[in-house]
Amino acid sequence: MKRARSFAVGVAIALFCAMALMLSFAHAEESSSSGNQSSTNTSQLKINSLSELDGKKIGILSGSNYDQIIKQNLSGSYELKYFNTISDEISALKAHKIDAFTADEPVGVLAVNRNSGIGMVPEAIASDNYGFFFQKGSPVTGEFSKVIESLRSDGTLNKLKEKWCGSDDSAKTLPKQDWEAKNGTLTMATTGEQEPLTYVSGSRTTGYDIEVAYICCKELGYGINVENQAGAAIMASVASGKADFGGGGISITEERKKTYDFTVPDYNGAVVAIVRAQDNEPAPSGGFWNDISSSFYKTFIQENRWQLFVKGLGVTILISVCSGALGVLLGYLTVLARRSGVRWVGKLVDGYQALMGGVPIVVVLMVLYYVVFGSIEIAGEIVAILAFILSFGATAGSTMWMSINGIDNIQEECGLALSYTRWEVFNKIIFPLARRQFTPQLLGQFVSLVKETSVIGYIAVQDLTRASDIVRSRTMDAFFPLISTAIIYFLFCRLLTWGLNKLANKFDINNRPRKIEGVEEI
Amino acid sequence: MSIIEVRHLRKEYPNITPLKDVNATVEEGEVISIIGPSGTGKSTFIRCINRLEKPTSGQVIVDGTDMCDPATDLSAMRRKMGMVFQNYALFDHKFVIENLMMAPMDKLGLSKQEAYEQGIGLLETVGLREKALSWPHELSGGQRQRVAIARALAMRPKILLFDEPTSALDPQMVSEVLAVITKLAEQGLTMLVVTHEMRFAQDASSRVFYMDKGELWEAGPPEQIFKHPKRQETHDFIFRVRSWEWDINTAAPDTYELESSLTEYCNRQFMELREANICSLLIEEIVANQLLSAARNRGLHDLKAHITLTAGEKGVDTTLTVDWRESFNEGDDPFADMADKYSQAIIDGLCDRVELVEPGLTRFSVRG
Repeated sequence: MKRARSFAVGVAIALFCAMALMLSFAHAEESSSSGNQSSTNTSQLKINSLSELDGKKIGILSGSNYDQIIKQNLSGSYELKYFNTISDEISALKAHKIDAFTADEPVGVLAVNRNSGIGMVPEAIASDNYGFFFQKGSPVTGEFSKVIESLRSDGTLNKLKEKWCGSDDSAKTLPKQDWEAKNGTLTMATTGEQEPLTYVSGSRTTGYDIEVAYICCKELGYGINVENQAGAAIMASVASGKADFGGGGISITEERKKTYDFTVPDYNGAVVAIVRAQDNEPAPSGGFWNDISSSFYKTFIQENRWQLFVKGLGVTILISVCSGALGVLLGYLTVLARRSGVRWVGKLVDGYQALMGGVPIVVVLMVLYYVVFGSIEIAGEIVAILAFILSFGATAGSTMWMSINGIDNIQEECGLALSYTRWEVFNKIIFPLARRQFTPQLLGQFVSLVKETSVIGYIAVQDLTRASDIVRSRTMDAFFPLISTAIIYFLFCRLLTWGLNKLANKFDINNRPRKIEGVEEI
Repeated sequence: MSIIEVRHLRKEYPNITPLKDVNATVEEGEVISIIGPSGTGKSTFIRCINRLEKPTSGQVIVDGTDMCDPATDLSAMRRKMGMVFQNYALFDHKFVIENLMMAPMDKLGLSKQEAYEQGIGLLETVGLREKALSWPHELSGGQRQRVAIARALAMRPKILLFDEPTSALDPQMVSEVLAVITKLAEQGLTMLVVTHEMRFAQDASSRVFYMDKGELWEAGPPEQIFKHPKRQETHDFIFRVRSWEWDINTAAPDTYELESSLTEYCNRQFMELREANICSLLIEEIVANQLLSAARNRGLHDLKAHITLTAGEKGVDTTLTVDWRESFNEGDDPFADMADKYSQAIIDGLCDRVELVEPGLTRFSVRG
């Protein structure tokens, strides 16, 4: 029986890995040529001018202002598709799910350089200026603008542009923070997903806009702390005061100006359209294993990116374990609350469990971070743990309660008849009996919890999923990091299930030795 | 002073009033069997005594303490009263011996060793010394109920309450539990036993309470209740539970169900195996070879017959009555045309006497 099970698990793992490899292979060709070729010759493009975009599907980043830009600058009809990262857009373009996507010019150049089979429409959709944004009325906006103006006039901005858009990766470093932060420290929110303006190298968020922000802060006597988080969240971060300002390829628009104060632009760029090349011809491939190893190198070895994965997994584990343990405790408390027999307390627990059951965890997470704790200095990790405690507490509580309710009422009466009080009956009889039933369920739910934590990138916490997003935005190779992440999650969850079952078995009373500890047998 | 005094006890639920007005006293050392039809408040009555149910009104005084007084320490009072439930309710997460050790350690302050030794002693009393380290689910129903009795005894109670202790058991396990209870009855413990086992009530109790319609209808020694009941309801009940009745409403009755019901009745009456076999054979002959063939001969498809078996006692024969008057016309004696003479011979061999009370109503005295 046991052998059959391990066999089945082995087969499942083998199948999974085979599938993963095949997927990688199917797309390895597309990511294999990471050479420094310049943008694909325009004559080979599927779409050569903006007017040809009429009636096509266009991908844009969610949380961006590309939709407005398209509306204002493109005539004709088109269908917009929303994506979270540029690597998703590249994958979708190659897979013919969309016909074009928009990008900021520096990002677009980099994307075309790193991927075969795509190119940039020569004509820009619109000119587009990037700057930093602050909460309305912030005095720092003007100070930043002044510094940026002086950087422009003395040629520093141009030098920085050459440095960050150039091909010499070794030159792309940020200055050390060696100045005195006499006016306090500013927190900058950025996506970290728009190389070369903002991106993660090693475990550090870096890029053109980051360096400009550094220089501004240095000039003005602020310390700077850069936090990267998922695209749609950075606006919320600044609005709620979680971050003092945002930046990194953020377009200055009239609409945004109504809500935020913008500095003068630090980069005058353009919005461009990226399209497929004519034949989507595969670049010369170095063979299956070479493709795999090249992807592996880019994803894990280059810039020590494996550290991002390890750190991410660590965060995932930390948050899962803390919220798992405290969630069970919270669940236990809801059970006690229900047993108190006080009507309104029971209603309260009902309401809480219904709420957590009916609201997606990612929404709970964002509401907690940006609304409830909006104006309080608090680490994203703590908020994530809180959110998952609330979520898991509701699940665990109702699971426990169902098992406890399933215990025959006669057990309780029997305990009372043996002169135990109601509390003692619960503690010594009802709960231990119920525990045997709900433990396996709770363990399963805990493993699900581990997977559910993959949404915490929304509040600036870098877990495993977010780590893979960051790596994908650098390599622009969508599949290998994704599959790798899937494998890491899968293996971790299997290991966890195995370990927890082992532990549960150890404490399973059915495996107790047949003896009474501490008595002299007669 | 009586150990239990119940005055004008009343218990109401929103839809039903199981106890209307119950008055009773129990002296120390008495063994009381509480009998009566289902749903007449027998269980509610004993559950009011240890306050698992809260009476609507009236008084329950146990050992001089009013159980309904809010100031009464219920936990302390329940220590004096053990209770055995219909469904044993052993704690499945503890070994048998631990079931017996738990409450004495927590509530009587016994040391682990003392509780263990006492538990082993009690298991010996109920004949389950060997099962000390078994899980409850490894025991049969009868064994579990004996453990439950030992667990109640472990609290060294003055009073033991039994709530239908054998109702959930298979017939063959009833006697082992009753034997244990009977043994306890001889030891001077005050006991109240709600039961359907008439033989037990008759043999083991010092007094019998007959409860009906939410009241204590008649109380007295077994001799009075079972032989010379003073009230008509008591008489009818005693007769009914003592007899086995079966209705046949079709020309193709379910003979398997009939057979198993009959066997259960014979077991409950502690009928000797030989006599039980005779009853079984006799009924089979009468139903299959006489009644049904007679019905066939007359073209009857909705045969109606009523069979009553009353187990005999000292000096009284076991009698079987077959009433099929409803299905036959006056003047038509169905047993007159007994088609199967061979079957007739068998029936004669099994009976001492066959008496035709009137056409369609025959009484057989089973050979004892």
